[in-house]
Amino acid sequence: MDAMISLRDVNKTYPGAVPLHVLKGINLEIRKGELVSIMGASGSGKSTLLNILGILDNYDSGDYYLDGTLIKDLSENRAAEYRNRMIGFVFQSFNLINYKNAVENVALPLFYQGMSRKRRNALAMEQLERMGLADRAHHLPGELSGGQKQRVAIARALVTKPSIILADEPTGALDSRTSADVMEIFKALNREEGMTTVIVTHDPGVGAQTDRLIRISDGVIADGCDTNRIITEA
Amino acid sequence: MRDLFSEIMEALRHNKLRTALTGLSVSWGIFMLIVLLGLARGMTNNFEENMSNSSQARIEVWSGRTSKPYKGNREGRYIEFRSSDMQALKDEHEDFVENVSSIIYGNSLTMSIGSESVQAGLTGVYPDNLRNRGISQLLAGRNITDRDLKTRAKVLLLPKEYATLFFPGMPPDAIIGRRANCGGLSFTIVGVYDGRFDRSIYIPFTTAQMMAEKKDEVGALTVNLRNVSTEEDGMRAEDGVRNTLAQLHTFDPKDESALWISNRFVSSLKGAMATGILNMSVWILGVLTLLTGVVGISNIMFVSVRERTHEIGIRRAIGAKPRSILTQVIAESVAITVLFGYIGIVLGTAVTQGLSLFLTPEQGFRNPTVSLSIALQVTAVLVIAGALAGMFPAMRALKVKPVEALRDE
Repeated sequence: MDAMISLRDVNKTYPGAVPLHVLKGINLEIRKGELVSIMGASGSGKSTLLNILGILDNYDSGDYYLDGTLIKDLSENRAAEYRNRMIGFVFQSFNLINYKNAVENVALPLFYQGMSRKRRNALAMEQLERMGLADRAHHLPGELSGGQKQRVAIARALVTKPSIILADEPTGALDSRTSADVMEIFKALNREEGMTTVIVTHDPGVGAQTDRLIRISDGVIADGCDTNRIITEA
Repeated sequence: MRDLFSEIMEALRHNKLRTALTGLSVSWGIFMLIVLLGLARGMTNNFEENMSNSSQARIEVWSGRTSKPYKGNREGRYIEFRSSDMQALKDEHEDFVENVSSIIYGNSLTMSIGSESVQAGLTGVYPDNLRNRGISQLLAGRNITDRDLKTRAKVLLLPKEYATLFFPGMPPDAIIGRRANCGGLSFTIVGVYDGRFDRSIYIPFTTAQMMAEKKDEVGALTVNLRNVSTEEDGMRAEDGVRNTLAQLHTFDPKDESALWISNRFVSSLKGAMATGILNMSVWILGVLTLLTGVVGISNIMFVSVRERTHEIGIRRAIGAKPRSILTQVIAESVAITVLFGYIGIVLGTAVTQGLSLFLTPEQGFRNPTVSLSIALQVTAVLVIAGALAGMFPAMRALKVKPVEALRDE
């Protein structure tokens, strides 16, 4: 199967009085259609890894291919374009713009593609309907529950039809019931549409629901195993 | 464009009170600029109106008394212009003299119409003398023409005061064509004018010459110029006129009191320059006042960028290019500046319109209002000012790294 993500010997050091070598020769392959979780303790480098995967941050050496495209030394404009067209982000704190209603938030990535208001609102409504939030389309984020906000954020991630969804602790701010609902959405998207999804989490319960769990520790990948095997062994 | 506009409106709605308070300083700056420009315009209009009533390319020459002896002539000699001087000036300075006209103040005589009569002097003029005296528009009838000069016609222009005296209750139109007896000669009234303080009875120059005792003697000379455009041209013409008259009347050209010369051409150039300086000063003053408002806008945009760092991070993460962020911050700044600037323009225009009801040409102001072109220029200033105010905060916004901005809660 084709690789969606391919990292080869990727290193990242934060400069400073004492330089911090955060990622140490990361080699990682994520295939198209995989649902993968990355787990690690605080300071293990998992967020830095996700930022590099999401083209929000640069790496120092190695190579990163996203859907066959080498992501290296990109200009700000090109990076913005790739983020917009290839990646859908879902964040722990939702990151919705609080003075825009649900449909405007979902439509925002399409605004940066230069799409007409009518067309982008129609596409945003489609996504909100899929998330069961059509009746909340004109509500501001402040008027929505945590679970609803995260579903709006997922709709926004999906609206550009990206190659991959990158989710950073997507259930971190939700109660267990709502977390389960959100995970169901990711699983359904992966199962029914083959959406490649990478979830960074510290919750073993979330990790267990993915096809593969990648552990990162002190800047290196500890293991990347099939979660079925973990469950069986347990 | 509409999208950008609604994005801006959404962002501005966010902080209404703060935006309004800062915007007011721009409104005030523009209001002051408009009112000052209106008043300056009023002064300029008045100056231009006064100038346009008469030909500006001319030199007026009055005769004086010599103050020093010259070539056997004693000092204190009175210079009397002769009609031959007019032709001599024209012949001598064909390059810059268009024509020379003069005026004759006739002796007092009895003018009677019907049973009414007054003692008055007839003033012989050329058509351009009337224009230079601000009598270009008549209440009725026509001006004195070149044809009247050629034929020495016995026609006259009557001031409205005499028209009312001789023809009480009659409209000026009804007086045209009536006859008046002036010192035994019958004249036809061809026009009635309103000269404010001028109550002269005007007749053609040549007719006055014919009636005068000293047929060769003329009054002040008006030298109409051509081919002059700079102050140097004007001064050269003045020197030429002075030298020629000094030669003809044998006085020292350096004798300042022998002739009184008013160089209208040079004065009008200086006047135009003065109104230009006035306008420029008003612009500088207004723009400086506006600057305080612009600094306010710039500050508010800095605060706004700081407050919205997280939002900028979100926008960058989902695909906003640096240019989009730059455009949005600058467009917001321009929108605030133009919006509040327009409030200033509207209020300023209303005040200048109100002032135009109270300020009269006698007070030095004529129609002290701003024109559409000034409003457009002010709008251009607003857009530039807004863009400048937004520029530095926008540069700050550009430096925001998406990763760091997303962490900024």
